[in-house]
Amino acid sequence: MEKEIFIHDSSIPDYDDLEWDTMSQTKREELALQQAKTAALFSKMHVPFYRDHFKQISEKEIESFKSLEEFALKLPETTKEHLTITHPSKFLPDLKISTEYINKGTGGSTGKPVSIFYSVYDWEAMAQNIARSIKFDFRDDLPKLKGLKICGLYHGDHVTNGIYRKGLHKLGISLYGRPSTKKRADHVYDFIQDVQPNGILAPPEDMLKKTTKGITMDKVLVLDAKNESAEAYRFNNDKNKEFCMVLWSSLPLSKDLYSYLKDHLKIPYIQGQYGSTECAPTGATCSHKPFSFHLGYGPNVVNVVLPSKKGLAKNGQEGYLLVTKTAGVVDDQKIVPTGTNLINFRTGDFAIVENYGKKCGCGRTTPIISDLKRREAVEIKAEFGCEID
Amino acid sequence: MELLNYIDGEFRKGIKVQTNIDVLNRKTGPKLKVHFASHWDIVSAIEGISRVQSEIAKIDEKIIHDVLHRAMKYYLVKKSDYTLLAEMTGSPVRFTEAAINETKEWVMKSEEFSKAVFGHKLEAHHNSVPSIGILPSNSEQEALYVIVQSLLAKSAMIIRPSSRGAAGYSSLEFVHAWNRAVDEIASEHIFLKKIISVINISDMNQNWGLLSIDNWNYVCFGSDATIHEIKKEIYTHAQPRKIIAYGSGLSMTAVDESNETDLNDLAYTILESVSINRGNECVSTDILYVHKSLYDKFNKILLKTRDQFKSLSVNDKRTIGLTQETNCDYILNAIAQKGKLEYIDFEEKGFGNNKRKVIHTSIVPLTEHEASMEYPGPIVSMRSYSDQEHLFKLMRTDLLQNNKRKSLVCSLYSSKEFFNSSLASISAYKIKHNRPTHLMDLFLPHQGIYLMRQLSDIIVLERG
Repeated sequence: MEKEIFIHDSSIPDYDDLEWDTMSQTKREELALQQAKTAALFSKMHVPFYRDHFKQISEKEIESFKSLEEFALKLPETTKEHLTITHPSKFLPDLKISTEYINKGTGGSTGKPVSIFYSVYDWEAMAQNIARSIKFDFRDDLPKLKGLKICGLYHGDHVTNGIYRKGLHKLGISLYGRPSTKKRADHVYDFIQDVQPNGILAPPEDMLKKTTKGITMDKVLVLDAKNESAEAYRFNNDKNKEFCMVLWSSLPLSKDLYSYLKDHLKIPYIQGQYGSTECAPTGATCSHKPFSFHLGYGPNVVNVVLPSKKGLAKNGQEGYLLVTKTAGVVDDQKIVPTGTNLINFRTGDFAIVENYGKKCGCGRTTPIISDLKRREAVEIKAEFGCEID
Repeated sequence: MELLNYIDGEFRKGIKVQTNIDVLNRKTGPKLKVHFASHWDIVSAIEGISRVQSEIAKIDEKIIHDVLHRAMKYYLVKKSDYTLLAEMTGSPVRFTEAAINETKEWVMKSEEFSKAVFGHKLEAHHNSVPSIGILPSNSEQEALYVIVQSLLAKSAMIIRPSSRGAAGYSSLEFVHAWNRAVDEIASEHIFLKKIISVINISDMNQNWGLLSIDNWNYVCFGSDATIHEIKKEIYTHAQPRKIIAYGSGLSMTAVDESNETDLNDLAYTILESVSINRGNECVSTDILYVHKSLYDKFNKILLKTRDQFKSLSVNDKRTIGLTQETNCDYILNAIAQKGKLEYIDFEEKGFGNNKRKVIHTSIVPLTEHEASMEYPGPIVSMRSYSDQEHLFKLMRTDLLQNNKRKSLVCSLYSSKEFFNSSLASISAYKIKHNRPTHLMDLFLPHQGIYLMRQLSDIIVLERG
C-alpha cells in the first residue's frame, strides 16, 4: 500500500459519533470535503474506472478544491449508465488488500443488473451510520434500546437486512430476520406472532404503483388489522405497549401510512432511511420531519446540485443528488476505501434542501432533503424496493 | 350535513368528498356531504374492530340492552331527521317516521327479542366474530335493524353505508346516540364506543381484497345480481364465516275465488302492499295472482283504486313516495321492452323549479307465457289462474324466471282450506293468510333467518 498518499485526519469523528449530527454545518462541510477529496484522489490512483474517468483532472486540482460545491461541479459525475456498461471490477481498487466482500445488486428488470461490492469495512461504516441515526433519537435514554427485538421482513440477502442487523446490534437490539422459507406475507406474519417483537423493519409498498410483490410493511399491517383473535400479538401500542418501533427503508412512506402507524397504532418510534443499493443509507427521518431525511454524513457525502449546475441547492431549492462514498478501512491513521468506489455518483433522485445551517426540532443540525423524487431511476428504485423476495 | 367516517371511536374526515342532493335534485334542497375513507382509514376500521372484538365478547348482555334502550332516547328523534331522510331517499315522510319508530319500539324490547332468538333451554350462545354490514341505499330502517342485532350478538361491526347518504346518516346518528348512552350509563366500558365503525367507501371494487376477511361475517342487501357479485368477490379473497344476504323479495299475493274479504277493501290493501315506500321494499307485492272468476272484476276495482296511490312530494300525506330517477328510467325501459308501457301510469311532473319523471302505482297484466320481474318501483304484475295447481305452477315459473328459490312473503286471500292445502306447495320464507305482504313483524325471522342468531355461535347443551 502507498501509505504516504492517504493521510487520514484524526479529527474526523467515528461514523457512529453523534457529533456528526450536531456540529456546525461549516465544520461538517470541511470534514466532508476532506473525506471526499481523499476518496477522489484514492480512486483516481487506484480504481481503474476513475483512473480513466478523472484523467482530465489533475491530483493537484482535486487537492485545490476549496468547497463541496467545487468538488461537485468540477469533478465529473458518475452515472448509473457508467455502472451498467462498465465491468464491476473496474470500480474496485487494485490494491492487494485482504478483506471479505459482500456483493449486492440491483434487480436488473430495467436493464443490465448492477453489481456492487461492499467490503466488511464499508459494511461496518454503514452499520455505524444506521446505529447513529437511531442512537441520536434515544440519546437521553439509550438503555431503553437494549434487549429490544425487531423482526426484519427483508429476505436474508437484502442489503437493508444485513446493514440493519449489524447496526441494531450495536445498540443492543436484536434483529430477527425472517426465515428464508417464509415467502408469503401470512407466513411472515405468523413468524412475527412467534417472535412477539418490539418492532418491525419492513419496506413500504410503492405508493404510486401500489406494488403487491414481495412481503411489504403494508401487507403485514393489514394482516395484523384483520386478526381478531383475542390471543393475537397486536401492533397497536394501546394493546401491546411493547410493540414500539417501526423501521423502514427502500421506498418512501406515504403520509396516510405514517398517520396509520403514528395516530392509529400509536407507534412511538417510526424511522426511515433513504439510500440505495449503490450508496447504502444516506439519510434518516426524524420525528419532526417524518417524510424528509437528515443527511447522514460520515460514510458518504451527499451534494444536491442545482439542475442548472450553477451551484449547490440551498434552503428551498431543488437539485439532483450526487453521492460520494467516503467510507473505508482506517488503518494506521489512513483511510483506504476497499469496496465499489463511487465518486459524485448521480443517483437519479431529486430533492429540495431544507434546514441548511439551521437546527431541526429533533436537535440535528444536518441539512434535510425533502420532497424526494426518484425521477431518473424511478423504475430501478421501485424494483429495488420490491426486490425483497 | 357532513357524513364523516367513524373509526375506532373517532370521527374522521375523508380524502374525497361527494355531495349528494335530494331525490328531487333541488339546488336549494338538503345536501349530504359524504367523506370517503382512504385505504388506511379502512385498515384502521378493520384493526379497531378486530381489537375490540375480544372485549365485547366478555361484556354482560344486560349492559348492551340497557345502553341500547337509553340510546333510543336520542336516536332520530327530530322531525327534521325524518324529513331529511325522506327527501334524500324519496320515501314518504310519514312512512319514514313510522318505520323508524316501529324499529325503535322493537329495540326497546330487545330483551324479549333476544329471548325469542336465543331462549331455547337446550342451547347456549356466545360471541361470534366481527362483521361487516353493507347497507342498501333505499332504506333508513336497515341501519338500526342490522347494528342492533350485531351488538346483541356481541359482534363488533364495520358498517359500509351506501354512498347515497341516508343509510350513512342513520348509522352515524346511531353512533351519536349510542355514545351518549355509553357516557350516561356505561362509562366504565368506554370501549363500547369503538364497537361500531362507519366507513364510506367510494369504490367497493377496489377494496374487496381489503374488506374480505377470513372468518368474519358479512351482512349485505341488494338485488340478486348484486348479492351474487358481493359473494363472488368475498369468496375470491377469503373464507368468511358467513355471508348473510338479504336479497330482493319477489313477494307475491294471490286472491282465490274462495276469498271472503270485500274486493274493494282488498284492492286497497293490495295496492298498499304494491306501493309501500315507493314499492321498493322487499315485502312489497311484486306479482298478483287472481283467480280467473274474479280477474276482470278485480282488475277494474284495482284500476279505480290505484288513483289513491300516487307518487307525490315526500311531504304529502297521500304520497307513496318518489322513485329515484335512475330507477324510473330503468323501469320504463324494462317495461317498454316488454311492450307494456301503456299500463304504466307515469308523467313528467314539476317540483318547484324542477321537472322529473314520476311513476304512480301501476298494474301490468301478464299472459301465461309472459315473464314477470321485480321492479324497483310501485309496479305489480298481474296473472290469472284457473285452479290451485295452476297457481302453484305459475308461482314456480315466476320464481324460476327470477332466479329465486323462494319468495320472501306470499299472502293468500282465500278460505282456510285453500290456505292449508297450499302450504306444502308454495315456496316462500313467509306465508300469510288474509294479511298483506308488507306488514312486517320485526320479532319474526326475516327471509327465514334471525340475523342475530346467524351472527352468533350456537352451542347445543346436554345436561346431566
